[in-house]
Amino acid sequence: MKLNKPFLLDNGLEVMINPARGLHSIGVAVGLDYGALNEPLKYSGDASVLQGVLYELDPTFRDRLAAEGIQDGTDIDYQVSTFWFKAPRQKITEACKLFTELLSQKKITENALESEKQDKIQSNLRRSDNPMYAALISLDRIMFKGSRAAIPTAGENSAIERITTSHLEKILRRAYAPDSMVLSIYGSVGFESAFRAVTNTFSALEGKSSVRKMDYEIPVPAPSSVSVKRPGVTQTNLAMGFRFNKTRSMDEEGIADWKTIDSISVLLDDRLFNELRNKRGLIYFCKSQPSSEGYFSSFYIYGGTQPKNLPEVKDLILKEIQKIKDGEFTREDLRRARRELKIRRETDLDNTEKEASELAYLRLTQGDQVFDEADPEGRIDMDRLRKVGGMFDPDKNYFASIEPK
Amino acid sequence: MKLDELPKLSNGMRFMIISAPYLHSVGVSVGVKYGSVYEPERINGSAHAAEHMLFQGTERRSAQDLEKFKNRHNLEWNAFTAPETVTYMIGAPRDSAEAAVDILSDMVQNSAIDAKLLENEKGAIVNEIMMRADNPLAMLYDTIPAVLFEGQKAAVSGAGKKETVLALARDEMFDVYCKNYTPANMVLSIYGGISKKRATELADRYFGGFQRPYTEPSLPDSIGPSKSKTIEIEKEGLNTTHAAIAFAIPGSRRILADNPRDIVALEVMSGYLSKKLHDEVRAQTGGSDPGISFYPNGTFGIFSIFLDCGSKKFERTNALVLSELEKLINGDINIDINADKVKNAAVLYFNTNQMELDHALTMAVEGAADQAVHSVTLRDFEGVVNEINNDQLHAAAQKYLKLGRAAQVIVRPPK
Repeated sequence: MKLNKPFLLDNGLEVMINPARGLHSIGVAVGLDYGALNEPLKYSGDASVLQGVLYELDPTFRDRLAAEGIQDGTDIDYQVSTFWFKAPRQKITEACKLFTELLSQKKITENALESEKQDKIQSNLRRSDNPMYAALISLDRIMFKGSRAAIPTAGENSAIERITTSHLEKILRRAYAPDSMVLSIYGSVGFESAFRAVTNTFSALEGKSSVRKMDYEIPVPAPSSVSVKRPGVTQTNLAMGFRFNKTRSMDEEGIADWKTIDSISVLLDDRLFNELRNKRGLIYFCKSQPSSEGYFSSFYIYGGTQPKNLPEVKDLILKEIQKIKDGEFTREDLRRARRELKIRRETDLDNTEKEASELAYLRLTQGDQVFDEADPEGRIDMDRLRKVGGMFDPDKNYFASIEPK
Repeated sequence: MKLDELPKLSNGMRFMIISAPYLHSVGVSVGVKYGSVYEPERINGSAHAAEHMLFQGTERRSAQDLEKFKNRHNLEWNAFTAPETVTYMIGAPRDSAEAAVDILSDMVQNSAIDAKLLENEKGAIVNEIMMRADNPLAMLYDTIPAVLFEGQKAAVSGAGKKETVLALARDEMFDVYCKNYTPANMVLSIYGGISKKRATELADRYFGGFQRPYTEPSLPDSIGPSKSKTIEIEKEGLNTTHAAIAFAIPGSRRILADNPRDIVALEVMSGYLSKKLHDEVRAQTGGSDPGISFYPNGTFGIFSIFLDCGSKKFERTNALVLSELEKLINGDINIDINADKVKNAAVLYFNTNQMELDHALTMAVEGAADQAVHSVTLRDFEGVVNEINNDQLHAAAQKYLKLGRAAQVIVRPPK
């Protein structure tokens, strides 16, 4: 998709409007330059708590969204906080108005904060009872030891307890300013209509950002493993990880390398499914997940198996990683991966809120590169596949498991 | 549109096609009316095992060939087993629509159910079953029907028990497959970036020649709650309490298809309770929001309220939820104030479904699953939403949400 160039409002808000005819909805998303890495460790989770609190300050807000048929959601990662609305196509003005109202709030109330904190704390407890999630959290703790990235974006419960209204109000003043935000509108709306709706609403946002630019250098600890024995479980949940520090720079080469890691994930999933499930029935599922946070990136493989199968499963995964390191790719692999990534990208275009959010996120993390994506998969070739594959080293894996006690 | 109104191929197989040519993808789905409620107890898990085995090769293609075909055409596939149906789904880029119809037709018509591969696959199935038992939220979902429908067909595990799955024999599995994977017992759904003409051609080409006789299995006319029951499961290693209150909705979709106001009323109640409990629980206990789930099957449904409140606040939150339910049942709610919100919640639900037209695969799956169990899709009820009034809401609450017959399941850390 050829993207329209963004424009700036007088208050510094950058706006991307990309009409897509035929769809049934409009995605409206705002990304802002404040993520989990910006959080002081003693207040980890503040970005996520703040997103939730903003919805709780006015008890009528959710009703009014519902009355307009607008769905909403938030995403948080280590760099960026994102809010999105999905609205019926005739509701662009109402969506922009409500969005502006949400982001204009400056005063946090004790009641709203306390209930949101309890919600987040409970959510963390609930998730930690899921052994698969627990395995991934354990993996992050060793893979990013000594940095904020070792802790989930949702934060730690002890830190969430410490968050105060004044702390969140400080973030609102420093980070929730139009000049640190990107507004992205995508879907079934004309450019002129969207432009009018935006200028009539988002222009009211005020403030200047003063978020301290972080040094995102995340140390790479020595490979290690951890096994947690948990009562009440019968299966072993495993998570393996690899670190690629500073793999993803914001230039053309860095982005092409990252897309190549995505393509390796596609191929590895095929191979793991075939080797572990189809041929041997060792595992119900085993998936890989690349994770890029701009200034550091990582690669996860996770699944669950019967305890007796763990050594064989681990060995087979490492053998597949060795093949990737050795550059065992065919022309058919390359074709399969490129086409798969292209299809995923095109299919995402049918999902308005997802595409709007993604564009806001990419604009914040990739800058002008987001506009230069005519054929992003075309940059993946055999040489790059082998070069990037060479970064995987089975001897440098991090490994965590939750096992029966 | 009711099942009987769907168009049929020459072999009697029903199909539904919705063309949305602007979409980049096509969803192709087949719903089969054979889930765990149809299984004799001895072969509990056979529907689920059949679901797995359809991906393990056909008379024309080995498992590896299927996988290669899927990858060559960049298809995505999945399947799920529900109490009354198994649904298979293939997502495809629009230029691979024919490949999607081709491979799915091969799987449902020509599965080999190879004995050796069945033994192999049992390992993955048991792993899946046990992983669900390890996860307290999944455990909660699986325990609710067991408590709510104790002693009835709907109580059995959809995925199957480890012991019965391990004992499944190839011939039994093949028999299950041949008896139930028949044109008269399946619905094909194609949705998304494909013209109606092209989709009809593909449906006819790949499914029209399929012939296999079918005898409908016997099933109780209605499935209802046995009695009110609370079950507490102490599970080691947990950090918090996971709990739910659930109500059986007997005869949900099949019967309610003739009385759409009831099913809309339940959807409206779901929206109302979701908002009301969010506000009340946060205000009165400072705790986190309960979640509402209304899951209608063909012959029975489950209306559940999940209490994500934690161990310390469980008693207070539970009491609050019961109190709000009583108010709803007794008609003791501020109807004048909430009426518009309640209606809007339902309207939103239908609008949302409308907007989800963007997701070809989801829609194809919903179509196949809904239609396969003699029901109508919820979107067909849109006109009813604006007619529903508070008297009907109260009547439906009294009819279906009987506190004296509710099941409560609590999965908690040891005291």
